[in-house]
Amino acid sequence: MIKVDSSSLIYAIKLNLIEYIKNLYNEIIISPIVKKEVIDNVKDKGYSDAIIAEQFLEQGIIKIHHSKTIIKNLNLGTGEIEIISLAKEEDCPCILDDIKAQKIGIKLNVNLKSILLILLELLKKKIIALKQYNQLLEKYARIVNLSQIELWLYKKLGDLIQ
Amino acid sequence: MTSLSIRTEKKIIDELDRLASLRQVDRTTIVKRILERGIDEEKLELAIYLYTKGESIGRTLDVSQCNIWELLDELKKRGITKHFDLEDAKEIILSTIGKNDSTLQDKLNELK
Repeated sequence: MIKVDSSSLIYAIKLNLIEYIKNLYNEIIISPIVKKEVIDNVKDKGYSDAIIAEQFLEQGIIKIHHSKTIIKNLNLGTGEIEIISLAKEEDCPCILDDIKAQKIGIKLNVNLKSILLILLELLKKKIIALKQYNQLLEKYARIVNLSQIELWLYKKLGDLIQ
Repeated sequence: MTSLSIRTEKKIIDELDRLASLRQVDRTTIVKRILERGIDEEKLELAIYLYTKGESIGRTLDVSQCNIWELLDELKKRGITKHFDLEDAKEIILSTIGKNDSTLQDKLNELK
């Protein structure tokens, strides 16, 4: 099982990573706020990837869990806090894509993943080859305006890990 | 519904009336449309400002109340890079995939 926050879910859909993530972790879990941010708030606004997210939810590929205890005073967004709280509560990894949220997750001993770490995991487990890793990395870099240094770092890591 | 009155220059009123006439609606309707659109634009600008000041995407969304798809598209369009710090990234990698991998740890520590 793995928990996913809003921006990570959006990037995972844009990169066609949902099936890979499901195969790695069996269950992809979001929180009610993540559903609201990614799907409900943009109903009828024509975002095709939001429609895909809704379809994943209807097909049970993505599920919703409610957190019983929300961790307070984290200075993050409600969606990020819900995902960190769920990951702590259910003792499972979570994908956070914002570096500030990632740092807080690590301080709280959360088993942290990011979209880039998922790509490295896929490469390490030989689910994807280096060529596909680099293509996905380049695509992600274009989608999020990745800094040159971060792109360089993950290219290096790809070479090291393969 | 509640009302709002503002004082403004005559040229603004003339422009509102011209637009209302062209769209065949009354002045109130055109003002409401412009205000609604302006509020959405302002929320987006606020979100971008907060993000560039270092807030997380989630916090930015909470405060600005803008929609995440629009925000991510706009950040891309404006060429605003994703938050990154090499030392933070190394720390994250070392405490995740690098935890039990001494070769990766050594290589990462060599990176400057």
